[in-house]
Amino acid sequence: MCGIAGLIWKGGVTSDIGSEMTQMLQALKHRGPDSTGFALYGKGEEGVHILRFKVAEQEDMKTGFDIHKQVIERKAAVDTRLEEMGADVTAREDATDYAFRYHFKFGGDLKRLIDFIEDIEGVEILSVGKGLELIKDLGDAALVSEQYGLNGFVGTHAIGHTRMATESDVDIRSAHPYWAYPFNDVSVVHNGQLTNYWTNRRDLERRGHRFMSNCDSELIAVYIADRIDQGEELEAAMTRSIDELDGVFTYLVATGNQLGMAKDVMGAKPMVLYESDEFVGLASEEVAIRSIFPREIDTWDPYQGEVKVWAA
Amino acid sequence: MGSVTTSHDMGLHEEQLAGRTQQMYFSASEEENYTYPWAYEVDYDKSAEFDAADMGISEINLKIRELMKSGHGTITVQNPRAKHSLGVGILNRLNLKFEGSLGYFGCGLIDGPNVHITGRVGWSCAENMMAGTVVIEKNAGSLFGAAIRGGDLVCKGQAGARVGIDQKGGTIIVGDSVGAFTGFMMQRGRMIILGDDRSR
Repeated sequence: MCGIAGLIWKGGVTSDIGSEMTQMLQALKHRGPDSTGFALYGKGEEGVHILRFKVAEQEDMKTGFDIHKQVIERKAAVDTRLEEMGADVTAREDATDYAFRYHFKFGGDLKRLIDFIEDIEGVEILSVGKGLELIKDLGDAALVSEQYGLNGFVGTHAIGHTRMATESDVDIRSAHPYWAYPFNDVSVVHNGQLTNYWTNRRDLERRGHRFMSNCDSELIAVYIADRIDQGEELEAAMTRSIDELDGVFTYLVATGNQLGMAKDVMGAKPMVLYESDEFVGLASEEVAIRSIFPREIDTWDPYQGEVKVWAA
Repeated sequence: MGSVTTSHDMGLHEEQLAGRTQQMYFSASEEENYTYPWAYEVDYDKSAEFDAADMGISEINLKIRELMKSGHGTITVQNPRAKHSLGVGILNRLNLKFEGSLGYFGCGLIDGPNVHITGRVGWSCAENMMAGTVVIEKNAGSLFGAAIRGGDLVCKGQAGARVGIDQKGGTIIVGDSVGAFTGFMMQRGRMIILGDDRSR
């Protein structure tokens, strides 16, 4: 079933989006308790990339014998490769035993750097961006938020997802949001099923894109990334996706300064929208928006085939 | 019922249907058909109100039932805050008012009450309604009035996709536009849309 949520403060206003998104996703917990993910957009620093990556699945950490040693080795390999490529790591944080957050400065080809790091077995880059920080793990929103210390995260916009696994496994690899590899700051959350997944995936793979999971939602991230790469604007890419992707879906896309939503032509999946002069909130159910605006507000459901984009 | 041959006359079955129906053998003059045997005796002049902000879904629905049991015919629920499944399964005469918005499945499976909602409703409002009226001041989500068999359902704002899907009776009035598959599998009843059909 899955629940998705998005919020954006207009006009460059910042807020505690970490707590706001946690509350929204916690209100949607009943739509999917398997995993929770956040894509939070902070202000960032000029010239500094934020790297979020993991070196093991939570499941592996509980069951494997060698995994704890491997985690250390994998992390060391990431450090070595970053240094080899000439990236200047300015800060390192352990979010958990298996997930990390780095700040680095890098002037070279980002895609090559990312490919080189992901070539290490077991290492998956969750996001690279100037403002984007992507966090996903098993459990409900309150748990993940607590684990990764997201309350108090200040930024302009965010998207999030609570997952009920239907098409693929319960693990971090298949959890949303998806980062649109290898583009700075692009992420996607999706509620629905794509029916022409393999046709599109083969097409995108032939053009050199990589897929980390078998989850159909990842396709949307890669698809949007591909369109942006070809010089299309976000809104145009999303409008095209309505025709080119089959199935039932409602998805949200965020970039460094934009938030967009798209709904399939049958309008099969829910989305409730609240828009005021300073704020836009979207969620699968109104309860999520109400968790941060308890007062009476005017909301509506966007229609089938609609695409909307807002700027921070 | 005059000369109309019904399935009852033909001896196919003997049970009497309860509630209002469009089948011919229904006798409107029999007053017991208007209420369920277990319906509560309520007085419209006896009113009550309560704040639902910190209450759970079952708690709110049970509270409504308790108030009906004690004879309250007019109930106002404040701050429903878009919670799901509120005001469901009411098979009684009742004036019910929600001061705020309902989530999914609001006022589903009702037979008889007059409901007024000052906010909006989510998916599947008044699903399978048998009789009564539901008036919504703002917008409605998808599946508005799915499978209703009777009663009047009014949304003053816009409604989402699949309005009146599988409708088998009653009247749905929407003040603004409706989405894809409106009236899909509709078999009987009336639907009045004052805005656009957004599926075209």
